[in-house]
Amino acid sequence: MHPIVELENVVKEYPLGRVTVRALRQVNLALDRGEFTVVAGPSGSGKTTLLNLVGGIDVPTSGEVRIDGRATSRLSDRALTALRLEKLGFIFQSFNLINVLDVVQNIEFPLLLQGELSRRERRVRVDALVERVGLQEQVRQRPGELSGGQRQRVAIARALVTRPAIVLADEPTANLDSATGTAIIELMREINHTDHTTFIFSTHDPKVMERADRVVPILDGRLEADTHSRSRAAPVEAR
Amino acid sequence: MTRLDRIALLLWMGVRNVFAHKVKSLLVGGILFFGTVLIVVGGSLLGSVQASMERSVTSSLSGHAQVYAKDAKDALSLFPSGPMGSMDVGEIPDFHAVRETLVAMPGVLDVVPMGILDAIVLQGTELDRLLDRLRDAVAGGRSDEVSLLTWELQNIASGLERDLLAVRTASADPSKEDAEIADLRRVQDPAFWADLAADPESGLTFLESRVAPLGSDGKALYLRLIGTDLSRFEANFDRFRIVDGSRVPAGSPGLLVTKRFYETQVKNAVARGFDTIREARRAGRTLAEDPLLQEEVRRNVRQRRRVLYQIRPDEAEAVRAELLEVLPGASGDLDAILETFLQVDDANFEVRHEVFYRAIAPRIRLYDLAIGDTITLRSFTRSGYARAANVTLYGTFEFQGLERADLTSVNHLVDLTTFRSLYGSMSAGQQAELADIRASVGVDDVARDEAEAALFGGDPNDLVVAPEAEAAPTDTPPTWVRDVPPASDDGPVLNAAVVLDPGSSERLSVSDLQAELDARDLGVQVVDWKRAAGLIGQLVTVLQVVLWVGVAIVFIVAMAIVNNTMMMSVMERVQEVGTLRAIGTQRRAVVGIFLVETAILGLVAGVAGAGVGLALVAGLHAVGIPAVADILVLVFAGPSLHPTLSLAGLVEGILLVLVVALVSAFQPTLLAARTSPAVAMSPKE
Ligand SMILES: Nc1ncnc2c1ncn2[C@@H]1O[C@H](COP(=O)(O)OP(=O)(O)OP(=O)(O)O)[C@@H](O)[C@H]1O
Ligand SMILES: [Mg+2]
Repeated sequence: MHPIVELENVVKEYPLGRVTVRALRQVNLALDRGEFTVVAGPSGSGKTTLLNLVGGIDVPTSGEVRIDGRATSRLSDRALTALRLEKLGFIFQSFNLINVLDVVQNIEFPLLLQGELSRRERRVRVDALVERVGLQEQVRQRPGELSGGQRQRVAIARALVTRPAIVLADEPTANLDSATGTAIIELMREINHTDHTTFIFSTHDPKVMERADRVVPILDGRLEADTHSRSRAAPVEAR
Repeated sequence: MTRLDRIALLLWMGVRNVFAHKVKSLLVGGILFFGTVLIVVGGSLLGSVQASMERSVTSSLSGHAQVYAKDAKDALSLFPSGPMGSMDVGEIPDFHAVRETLVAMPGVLDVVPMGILDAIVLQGTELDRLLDRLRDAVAGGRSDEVSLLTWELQNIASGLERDLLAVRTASADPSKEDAEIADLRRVQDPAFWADLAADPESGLTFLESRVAPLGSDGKALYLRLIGTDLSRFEANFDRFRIVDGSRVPAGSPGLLVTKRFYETQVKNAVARGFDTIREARRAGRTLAEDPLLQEEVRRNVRQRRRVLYQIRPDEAEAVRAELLEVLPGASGDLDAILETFLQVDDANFEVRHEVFYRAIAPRIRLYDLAIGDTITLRSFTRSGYARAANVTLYGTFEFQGLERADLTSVNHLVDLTTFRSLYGSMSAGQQAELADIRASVGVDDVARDEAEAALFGGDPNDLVVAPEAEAAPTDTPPTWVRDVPPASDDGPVLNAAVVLDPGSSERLSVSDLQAELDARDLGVQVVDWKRAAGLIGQLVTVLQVVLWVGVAIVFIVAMAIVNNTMMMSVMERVQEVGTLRAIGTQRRAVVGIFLVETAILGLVAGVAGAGVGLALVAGLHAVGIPAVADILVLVFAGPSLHPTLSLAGLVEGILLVLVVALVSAFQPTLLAARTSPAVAMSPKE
């Protein structure tokens, strides 16, 4: 079984006026199913850039990113978008919910985009997730009426609703106080345990790093040798 | 099922977003709202004006279409649109065939032959009329009448002398005035009349040659004539109605003038002054406050001799007595009393108006041309030859609803035969004669102008008489008499009105008629009422252009604002769009979300705007827009316009606004769709 995401000699450059910013330099990484991985590094080290590539939101300048075996730079925007919808779930630093939709509608949204499940099936799945993230009382509220932690729970539910192969979270706790942040990480950890959902998220919070199976340190666009704090880690691919 | 749920979600998001982005929605929605109101109301006014003008024009003159020669030099214009006598539309080559062809088409009711020309009526002055009567009286030896006329002529001479003395003081070289004054004094001298009794001819010649020209100028009335088959005209134009007098008996030369022209151009100036003041006072204006009306009063006082000279001396005393009844304390001769009488004010006007029409009007010639008079119409043919024809003025007419429309009042009606003799057409006899001339001079082709010269001689005042020998280089001077009037189809016809059957299921268009005529190669062109009406018809087109240009400008501005607002809205929402894209929303779907949102806004604004527009039109319909200017009477086909609105007009307005909204939102929407999903990752603020 091949890794769910593979990065091979990935370089990402951003043209910035006359200069070129080299955000990632020769990155190799493989993520296996069921892993709970943290990308850790200081500000500007390239965490977001890395997650963008892993999540098929952006494509590498050179090298290859394969999501579920498909090289993202060879896909059309349409196919890449469809790939994101099928295989990936996203949790954002600023939650990024759709403000005009209530909790249930926000969670259900990706399922409607997919258009595969019946109304009943969607209902069952959304209800289960609402319960899972503990928002039974808030189902008809809109994001504006929720606290930051509640919003991020909605975001987690939305990311999980399509049962994606991998969930990405870019600094999911950065906008939360530390207690709430810890609770959110605990929730993700729990879901990873029970459902074996693959997670990758970035942080520079040491407390968050502690909770990870695997920590991939990043500095100046280069990955350092990563550490596996938990026993059930996958083989290391970084060289 | 999912599909429906998706659409439901899309609509839900659209509605919520419209409410969520209040400033944008109010701005864009407001503009679209006013745009719809503008389109709906403007479209309704324009449509109603077009319909009413079409009714005006088609029911008064043009019919549904007009036919005239293909090779006409000028475009046909039923209403005057250039200087007098300037329109040359040629002749329909074979009217009989045109008529047969068109009448055979189902849906065509009739084809009415016409011809337009400008004519002049020269009117003698009051002095001329008195001198004519004097000559008759002298010849008939009626001495009573002669002495009455003597008295009147002396009066007139003394009045004219007073006027001339005033002119003389202002004149740098009074020698001309001095001579004229001497002539007028001679007329006032009883010795002159004694001489006249002895030698009538030299006295009358003196009066006619020296004194008559001193009378105020005889006026020339300009008449734009439509020569037509009068009975067919009346049968086909149901708004036509005789007001005074009677219709022209079939086969007789006859003239009908419009009631409005008759009242404003032909009526005695003083009587008209009374009418004008009365009308103005009825409209709420007062003599005390309105300087224009005060001027009208002063003019009436100045023009009192137009009444004075017409009152016979044997009736002067009776008139004087009746006027004195309402002028206690006034004294002096009739002239002085009239002067006082005509100085009306708000308090006495109604009484004086009544007295004028009771005591004076029946004793004067109230109209320069009286119904029943025989009138000499003069015209000039295209080559400058004068033609003249005597017709009887049978009456006045008007078109119902268009009584006050100046433009429809300028066209008067004559019978075709009279028209043809004024137009200078050649009857069969004349044509035969022209052939003779051709044969005798050995010319194959004699141009019409030359032929006229040949036929009618060079004297422009020459009536339709046998040409003089010098007219043509021919040994045997042709002689001819006027033919019997040709049947209306046979002589020249310049244009013709095609009247369609409104009840017919056939909806004939101009091109249908044209195709049928072309199939027979009849050399005529068909134009719709709008083009046939000339300038006034173009007014509709101009209004149309003005409205649409106005709408276009408003919409371009609206589109720019809507576009800008949407652009800003999209920029504000990049994070939202980036998120949608990141979690797997296709570009098309993003476009869909924005367009649905815009469409909802456009629809709400459009329906609201159409509703308000409808209410406005309904209000205008109930109240009516008054035709404040006389030209508007024609445009509105009546004294006021009651605009209407069709369901199609409403729907069109809403659709147009919707399209405008979507078009102006399209570019910002595409821009939104191009948002990179990566922006979702960058934290807010
Ligand atoms: N769109 C872009 N255009 C130009 N330069 C960029 C762009 N995105 C990132 N960079 C640059 O690439 C480098 C890596 O940025 P990235 O956002 O991946 O870092 P990060 O580790 O996520 O930082 P932070 O902790 O501040 O979020 C930085 O130097 C950044 O300035
Ligand atoms: Mg970052």
